[in-house]
Amino acid sequence: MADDLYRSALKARMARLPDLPPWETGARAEGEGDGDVPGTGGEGEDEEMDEEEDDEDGVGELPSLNTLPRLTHRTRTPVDYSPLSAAGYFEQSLSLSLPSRGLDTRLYYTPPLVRAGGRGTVIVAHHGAGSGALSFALFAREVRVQSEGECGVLAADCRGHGKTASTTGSTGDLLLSQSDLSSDLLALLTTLFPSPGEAPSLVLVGHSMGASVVLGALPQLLKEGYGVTGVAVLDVVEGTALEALPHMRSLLLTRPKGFPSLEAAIAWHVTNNTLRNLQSARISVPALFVRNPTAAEGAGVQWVWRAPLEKTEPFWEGWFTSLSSRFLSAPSARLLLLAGTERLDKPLMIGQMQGKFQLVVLPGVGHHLQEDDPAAAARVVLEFWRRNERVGVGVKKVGER
Amino acid sequence: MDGEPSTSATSNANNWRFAQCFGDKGEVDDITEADIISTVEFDHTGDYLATGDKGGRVVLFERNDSKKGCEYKFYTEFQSHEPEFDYLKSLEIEEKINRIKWCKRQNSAHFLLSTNDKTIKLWKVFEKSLKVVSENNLTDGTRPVPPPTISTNLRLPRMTQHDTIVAAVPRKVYANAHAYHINSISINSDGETYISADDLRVNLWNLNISDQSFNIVDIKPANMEELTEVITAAEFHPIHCNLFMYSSSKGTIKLADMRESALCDRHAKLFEEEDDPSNRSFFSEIISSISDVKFSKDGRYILSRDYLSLKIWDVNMDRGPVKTIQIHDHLRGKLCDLYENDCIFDKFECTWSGDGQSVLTGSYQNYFHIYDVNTTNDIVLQADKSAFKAKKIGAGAKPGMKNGAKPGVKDGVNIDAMDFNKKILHGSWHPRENTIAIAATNNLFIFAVDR
Repeated sequence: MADDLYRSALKARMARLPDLPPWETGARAEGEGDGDVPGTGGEGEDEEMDEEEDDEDGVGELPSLNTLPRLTHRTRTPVDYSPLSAAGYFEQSLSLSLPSRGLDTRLYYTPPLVRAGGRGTVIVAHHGAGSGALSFALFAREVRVQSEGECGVLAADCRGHGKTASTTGSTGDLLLSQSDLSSDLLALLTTLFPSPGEAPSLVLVGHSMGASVVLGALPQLLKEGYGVTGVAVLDVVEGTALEALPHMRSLLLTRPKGFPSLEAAIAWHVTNNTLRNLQSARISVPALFVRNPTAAEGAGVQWVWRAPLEKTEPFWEGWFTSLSSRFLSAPSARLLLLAGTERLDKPLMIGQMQGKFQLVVLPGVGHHLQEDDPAAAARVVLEFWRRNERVGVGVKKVGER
Repeated sequence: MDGEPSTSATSNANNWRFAQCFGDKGEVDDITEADIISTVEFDHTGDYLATGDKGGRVVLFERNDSKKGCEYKFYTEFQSHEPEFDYLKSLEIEEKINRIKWCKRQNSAHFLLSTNDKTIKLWKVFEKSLKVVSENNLTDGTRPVPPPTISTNLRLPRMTQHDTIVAAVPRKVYANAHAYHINSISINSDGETYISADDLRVNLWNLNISDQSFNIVDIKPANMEELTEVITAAEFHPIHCNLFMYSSSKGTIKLADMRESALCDRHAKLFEEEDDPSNRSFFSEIISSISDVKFSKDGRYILSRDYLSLKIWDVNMDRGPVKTIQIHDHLRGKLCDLYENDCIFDKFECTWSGDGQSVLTGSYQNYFHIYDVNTTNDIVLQADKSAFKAKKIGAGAKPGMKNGAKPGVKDGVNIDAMDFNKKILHGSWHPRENTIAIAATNNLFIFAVDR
């Protein structure tokens, strides 16, 4: 059209106009500030969240220019980085003693609603290296809301992480091989649910290193008679992880050794995009730090990393080697949930073409996808569970021997 | 304008009457897009009328002098432009005829320039007599004849006139000179050169040379992201062959003198009216964009059309227009809706009458306005089916006249029910009479003043 040039120049100019407060369209879908939680709005918000509200000042009489590009709203209220309690996300916080493993495990649990005659289902989530059980806090609440309580969630701080303490001190903390961690998980589950016949059916979810742990524990769990509906791996691909290992060390060197306050620690995680969800960061990051024993009173680095990842370097390769083959041969339903940019390695690609697992890619999330978009992660895992759970008696489930 | 208000025949609404309508007079809903008329132009004598449509066809009408009144008949039609594809940019080039301009008649053939978005063509339209062999050695025209036996009886074949057809031949094709869409062409008074203007550039051509043109105006910014202004129309002065003007989307008209320099980026005169700051709104810039600009026949005045008004400028005074006429000011409150349905970008043309006493421009719902330049008396007429119904009845009152005020109707126009799909964008005024040709979507209306 003859006046396309003029019109496109006009629209380009309008797109460069400065940000304005959003039109009062009724729905407050527009104008999410940094840190607004997608999927907020469930019940049971015990904490009064100081999240960024849209500036819903009256914009007054403005023409209904629906064809104008939507102008995003930059929040001008200061961002709150203060730590948040996990109360309201998990129902219970327990400390479980596992003498056979020399651990005092901190775990967080939301029990499932058990229907008459049923056993219920629990999603057992294992976090990754350097992370903590509270990285599943938002995920747990989403699961409870979306499944209407039918699915429970169990997440524990593993050895050397979070609030879990080893009875043998720092030596115990560093027994981080895959087999040790898998045995820890096994011990935890057999202690919590002593009778396999009456235990709820399990959905195993492992994030990053946690996937390796979960896959290692799976065969033994099945052997002991526990019902495992499926196993979900969050954002880890063996090939990519192994290739990234050499870079991990230099990456860890660039991390600060500690922070003067928990707020600073939370802010650091959010501003360098490790975690994209501020609310989740406020819950999960504090558990990653312990007070610096050598710090001066009131000044300097007060908080240091609970699990210094540099020390775990000897175990890295063991976590990820043969992860793909173990996943593909896992005797249960399989789900691989990836953040946008991951690529599959050769065994996984072949496996996917052979239909051996379900692949879901979540857009717009970082490596900690259960924290960045807990609603989407919960939805995918619940759907995976529902599809593989409701199978009639006598019909073998996928992967079942 | 010259002191005494003249009581021209055109200022009396009763004198205008519907004369003819060409085209498929069906409902607007199912018209073929290719039939939509995109330009109308009388030639310099007024005996011929050219229309171009979206399908790239040019249709010519000839004045029927045998009839007493004003009547045109179909003369010829030819396909001027074909749709093309620009392979380099992966863009379609529409075949829609944007402008037609007649050359001054020099012999029995007609020459006219027609242009689409990218290519200008010079067409020669002439009457070709077809001759047929009437007598040869085997027939004498009616019955076969035995072939001659003696060589002296051999005769040459004789031709007689069989038929006359009107043929149209492209004489020159002026291609590949414009990177943007051509919006106007204008032939110089010297009859040898013409200018073509696109969104950012104006080129000067010689009618005889089709492979070269000079660029005389270039407003392309170094960084296309900073584009704020485009050229919307350009025209040569009717008398001075060195002067031309071009209008822009920012509401400015620049008069340039080609004697000054080869590149006429610096204007000799700038016609711009300061915006009334109290009236400024989000749309002020869009509605100030000049959609058409025309010199009067004597070259003393400039007529410009922006979205809501007509402005008449004295060429000698660039301070401000000598007259501003509001066409449909009631649309000022509806600019948001007009922006949403894109009507705010409609380009209305404007025309002078042959005597320079009246101006013509179109509006929505097929209404068009004829203003007397001196008294700014407004005649509103409508180019649609009601026009020929009125003719049948022979009624004097026309719909939409100012004098016949009906309740809920402002200036003869019912605002809320306005159909923005029916608009009069193109029109032309006979150079010597008060006859106008109006393009209403796919129909051509001819209105004339009673003699």
